[in-house]
Amino acid sequence: MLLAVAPVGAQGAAPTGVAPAAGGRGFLRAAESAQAVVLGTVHAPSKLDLHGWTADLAVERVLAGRAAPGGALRVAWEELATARPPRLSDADRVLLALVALPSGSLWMQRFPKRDALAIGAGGQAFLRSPAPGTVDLLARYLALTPPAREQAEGVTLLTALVQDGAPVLTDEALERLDEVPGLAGRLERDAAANLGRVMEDRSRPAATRTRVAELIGRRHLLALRPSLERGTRSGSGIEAGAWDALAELDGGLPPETVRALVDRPDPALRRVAIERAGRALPEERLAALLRHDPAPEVRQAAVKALLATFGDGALETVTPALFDPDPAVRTDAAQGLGALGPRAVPTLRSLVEGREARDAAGPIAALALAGPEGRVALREIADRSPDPAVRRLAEIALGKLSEH
Amino acid sequence: MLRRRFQVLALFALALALQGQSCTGAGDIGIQSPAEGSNVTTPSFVVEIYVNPGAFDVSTIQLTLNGVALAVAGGPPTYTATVNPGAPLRDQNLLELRVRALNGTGAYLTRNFNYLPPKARLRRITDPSDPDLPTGPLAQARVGDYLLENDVARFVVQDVAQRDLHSIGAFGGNLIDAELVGHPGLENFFEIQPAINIETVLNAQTAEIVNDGQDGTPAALRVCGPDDLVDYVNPSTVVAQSGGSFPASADDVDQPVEACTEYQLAPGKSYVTLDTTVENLSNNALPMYVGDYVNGMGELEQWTPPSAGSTTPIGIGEMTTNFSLDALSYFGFGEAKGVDYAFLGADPPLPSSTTFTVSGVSYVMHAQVIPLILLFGAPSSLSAPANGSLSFVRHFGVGDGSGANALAMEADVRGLVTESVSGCVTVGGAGGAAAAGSRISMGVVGTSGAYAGQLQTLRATFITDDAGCYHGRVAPGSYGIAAARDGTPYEGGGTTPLIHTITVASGTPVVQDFALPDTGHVQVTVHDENDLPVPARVTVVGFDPSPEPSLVATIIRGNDTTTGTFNDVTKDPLEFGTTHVGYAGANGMHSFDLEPGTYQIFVSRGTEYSAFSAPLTVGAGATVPVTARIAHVLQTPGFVSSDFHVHALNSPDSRINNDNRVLQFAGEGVDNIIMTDHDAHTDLAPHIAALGLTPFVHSTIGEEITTFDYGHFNAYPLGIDPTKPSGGSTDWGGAAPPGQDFPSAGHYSLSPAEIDAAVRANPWNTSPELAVQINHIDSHFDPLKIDTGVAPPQSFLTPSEQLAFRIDPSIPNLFHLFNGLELWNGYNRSQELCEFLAICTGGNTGGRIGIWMNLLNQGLVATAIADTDTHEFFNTRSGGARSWTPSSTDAPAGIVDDEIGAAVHAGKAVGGQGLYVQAQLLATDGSGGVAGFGLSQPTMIPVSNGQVNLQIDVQAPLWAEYDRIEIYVNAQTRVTKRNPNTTGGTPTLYGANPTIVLNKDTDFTRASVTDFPAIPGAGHFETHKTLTVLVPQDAWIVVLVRGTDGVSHPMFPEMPASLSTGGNNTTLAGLLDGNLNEGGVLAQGFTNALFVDANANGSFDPPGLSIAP
Repeated sequence: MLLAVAPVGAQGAAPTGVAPAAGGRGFLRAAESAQAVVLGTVHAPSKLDLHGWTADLAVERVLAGRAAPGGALRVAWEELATARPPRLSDADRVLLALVALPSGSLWMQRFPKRDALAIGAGGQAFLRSPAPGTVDLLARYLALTPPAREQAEGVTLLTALVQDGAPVLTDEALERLDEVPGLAGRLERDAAANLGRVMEDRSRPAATRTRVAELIGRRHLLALRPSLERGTRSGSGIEAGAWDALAELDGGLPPETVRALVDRPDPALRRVAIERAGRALPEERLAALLRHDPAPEVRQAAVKALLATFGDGALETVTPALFDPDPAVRTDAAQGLGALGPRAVPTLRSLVEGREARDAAGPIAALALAGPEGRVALREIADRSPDPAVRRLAEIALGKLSEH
Repeated sequence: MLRRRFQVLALFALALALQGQSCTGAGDIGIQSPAEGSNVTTPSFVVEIYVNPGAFDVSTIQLTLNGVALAVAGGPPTYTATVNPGAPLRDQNLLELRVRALNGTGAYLTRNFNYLPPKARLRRITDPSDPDLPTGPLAQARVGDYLLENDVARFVVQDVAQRDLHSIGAFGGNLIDAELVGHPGLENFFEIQPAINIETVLNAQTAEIVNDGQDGTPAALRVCGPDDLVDYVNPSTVVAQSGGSFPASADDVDQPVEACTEYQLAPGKSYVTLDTTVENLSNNALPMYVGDYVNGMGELEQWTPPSAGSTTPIGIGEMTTNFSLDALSYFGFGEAKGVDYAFLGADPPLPSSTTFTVSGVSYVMHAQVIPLILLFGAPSSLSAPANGSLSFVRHFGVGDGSGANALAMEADVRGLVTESVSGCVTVGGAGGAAAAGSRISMGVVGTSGAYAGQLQTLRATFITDDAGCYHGRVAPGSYGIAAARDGTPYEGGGTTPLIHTITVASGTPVVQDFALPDTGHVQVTVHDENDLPVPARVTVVGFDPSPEPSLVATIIRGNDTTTGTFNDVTKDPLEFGTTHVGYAGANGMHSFDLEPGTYQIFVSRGTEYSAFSAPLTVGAGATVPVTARIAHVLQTPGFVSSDFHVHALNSPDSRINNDNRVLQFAGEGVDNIIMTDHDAHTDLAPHIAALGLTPFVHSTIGEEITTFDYGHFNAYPLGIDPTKPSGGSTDWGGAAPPGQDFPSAGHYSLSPAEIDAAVRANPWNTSPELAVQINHIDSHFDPLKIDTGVAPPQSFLTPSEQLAFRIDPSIPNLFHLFNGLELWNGYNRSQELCEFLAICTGGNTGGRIGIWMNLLNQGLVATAIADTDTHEFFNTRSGGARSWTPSSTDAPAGIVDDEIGAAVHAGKAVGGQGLYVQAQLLATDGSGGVAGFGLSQPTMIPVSNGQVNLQIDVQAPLWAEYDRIEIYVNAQTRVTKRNPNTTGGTPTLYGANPTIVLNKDTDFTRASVTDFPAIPGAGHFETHKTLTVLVPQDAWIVVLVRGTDGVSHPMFPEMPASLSTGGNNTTLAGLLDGNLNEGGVLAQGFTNALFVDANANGSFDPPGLSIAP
């Protein structure tokens, strides 16, 4: 029942040119348990009420579930954002994962006979204009029994989806592969080749290729080690990701590799080198990177490496990062130093002395994260600092502001 | 398939029309269950039908429920269909069975039944007297709101498209009420406002009943709308002023989003699920800092349960920042005993979720460490994908009064195992009396350091019911558990709680009883000089024999982050040296429990009354009667006292119920309470009447208009808008169309002048004498960089600074002359000396008096006000500074609100704490002119001889000594603070230099007068001093009288604040030795300005600014 409705588009400064919902997120998961997965053409989308929409779908192909090719289905979904155009338009050719209508009186009012199906994943389980290859692969995958989807055949189809599926399905398929128990043992040659090709395909987005590399490293897919090695070559476009995955695969990087990478111009490579250095980089080198490297991501890595490797021995080295110009570096430094707890409190406390508020924010934040002892120190600062701005910062860190 | 079904139905219809409902024998077909007209009371049930295959084609069986096909199993001949909660079930249901008979005819059977298992329901409120609406002091539900209810609890979501600026609740569509069924009258929770990006929140404009609950699944309401600024807070400016780096992406940014929150209540649950979805309308991923503003507001104590396994010392109290949020618990005390509320963070839990609590309002930020954001502008860890959405789920529940319910709710939501813990508490040993209201705390016992053998962190907390018993469910584990009760020794009689060790295991309920020792009892009766009962304060001086352990023992001072083992020990503590404070009401009676020991009891009634004092020794099990007489020893004819600044339950940062607030002011002898809750209009009159206090105290409706950045403003007398939960607050935030409440859209908060105009424009505020004062004026002049030391006064904010305050940057000057200036708000030493007079120590800065005098020197006359700004109860702040204004009656019951406002318009007020000062100007040129503060007196006189006599009259009770009179005549001021605090900063605060100083015994006499010889202490001090003041030009004259350290004794315990805690004050004798030069609060009073028209031109020609170099 609609009880109070503002005219569509009347709410605030609705941005112009709003695109329909992107969709696709959760498609694969929804498809695996859907009542029907169908390819079809949308007809006559219409608005039911404030958020509810329905359309007819002329079914062209049934990938799974109860539906008939050539038949018609009523599909339904909601658009929560009133300024957004409906996600399905007339004549759209779409692939839908359809589930039973949600329960509840609102849906009963919309469909008293419950003669429609809802788009799964909260309305996100749709793909616009899917490529035939994607549809075919999905059909083959969904035709498998659920257990079979995690065996070699299913794994191979998932890697094929990674390779040939729609971009949004690439990520979904990678996530699904990551859930397969004992993946390395179920990855047959074709499947490995699929992943290798994706990773080495420079026409693909680097983010996608890096995600494949990460999967290889995380799931120890040794068969793909050569691909990873090729990825580490200069100009591959995913050097950092490949080195990182290789380190994951091998349990670390050789010291000479670390030392070589840390001198490379690409900050992502320097970051990986630091993150995978173990004790291959001496404290002085890390300290120098922390002080002088122009890339915030490198300095962030140096903060973490110093504290992880040298503990409170790195206290003095890391504290300058509390004054780093980049907020992310300062954040990591504060969290890392705060995690040292009482051991860091005297140093952090002394760093507040004599500083103006802007500079005192770093050590104050670290004290806030340093447990009860840190908060005691903050209370002292809030009570006693001669600079009212510093006192106020300490009060903010304590979550305390003046009251009237 | 569908077409075939329709063909079959058509055939049946035809057959039935021709042959009736049954075409075969009655025994061949039937609906076995449910029975016709029956009530199904289980959530799931089985429909059973019988179809004889010998008579029917069972392949044609069609069973529908409310027109929707059911799948049948089994048979022949008995078939079943299991029906679970959900569509298409509803309250009244129709089963239909259609089968084709073998003979070609058809059968059609129907069955009506009711589906009535325990359900959750959702409906819109249409009847203001609906008996299902929550009730209690903070119940806000009204027609148009939405009620979610089941057989356990009720919740109210406010109607959408609302604008009512009150705390975080400016917009509709939020949870505003919660009540446990069978526990009426206890509603004490204010609101939860989902936040989208720290400074922006969901401004719900539409509501949909997603499920009314008939189908047995959770009832659900969805509200949706755009983002808008939450005017009540503006953390970015606080951070910027402190040198921090607030994230630019969250600073007043209008994001391209719409959002919805769905509230779901499942059958049988005492909590609601909040599922908020933020839709990103842009083509880019949108980082955001999502969270919730939570304001308990009521008579509640807050407890932030530490995470399981934590040993961080966390007890009861408002945790400021919490780095491991599981849940927030609010449990009632006092009149709210028996209710608790719990807010559970994101589900599934998000790492690093934190809370940040200021002034009673908590911001729960999901997946983010708040201090790092405030100090560093730490990047967001959550974002909504391009043209996608971001969702987060939380829970909010209501319980029967114990903090433990928060963890029980968490266990239920997250599927954790719990077990029952229960027991009872008695006083007087085993078999003693039931100890209702006892506190039970349970947690981890420390093994070393300050917490060795004591509770170190709480895992559950309970309050006993009227039978003295408690119960709850906790996670399995080994715990310490202890009991405490106000005025009662701990078990075993020791100075620390006796800890019992219990082991809670799944499947084995634990019972733990407590036997507290016998305690003492005191019965006080108070009469006045006419031997009539009179309201009064009862103060017991001494030390608590068994003080409550705090859980951050190493905090140095301030103790703001200290939490208590059984109570919130920081929110409203007793002042040092006192161990009990209570109030006698209209019957002059006050009874209380007190631990056995030796004390001194005082009975007082504020500045105008004498005080009673007597030693008090209490034994276990004994009742000590105390008969006290006090007398009205100050004469204030033609004047009534008011506290112009008072908070209670309707303020987000005050937990005091309105009955207690009234009782307290009656006991402190204040004639009139000007009730000024933050952005709310509160009428105390019904409470005054209900308590029989009409002869003793009056109330005036006011409001503290509470901007976040540029000061607070009290307005009075006001009316109440019955259509608004706030009573008609002044919308200083500036209402804007939905989604457009942003400076970037040209919608700003109101300037000071606009605020003044807005409160007067409210049609419910009809008083012709409506007055507006700036409160604690430093909080206005300093942030706005208003320098009153230039003519005319000028604000020096840059346009960008002005914009940061959400004020229109094109306004050239934010100075506005209001009717009143609150120069002195409070009761303690710092407030009377540093804040007001700029006499500061310890690096603190203050200086309000010079701002006022700068304005007087420019002829900008505003009335100086003394009041308390009281939020608490036990610190007796209500007995502090007050102002007397002229009145046509001395009886509180007859006070005319408009006369109060008129006095502020006319500059007619005198203020004091312990002192009552009056002044008059007497012409000496033979004209007979007199100026004063009386109802019909002018405040200015013309003189023609260049001089005037100043007559000063001072009165004080014998417990309030004074020794110094300061006279300010066109006084010089001095800068005491600049903003920023650099040489070139704008001068914002000023002290003032007295023109004439008179000292006791040297320059004036302080006479001691006995008023009622039969009543000990029933006398007063008085001084009548007249001196001639030379006035070569027009002049303003102000008189200030005060006691000074080392000469006058502080007013302990009648005004108990700020006494030194060291030296010999660690003993009862030390507390009672007069405490000369041991800190404390000294008597002080002052007048507003009287004016001399020295050139007799009929107006005051200001002398101009005089500022010390």
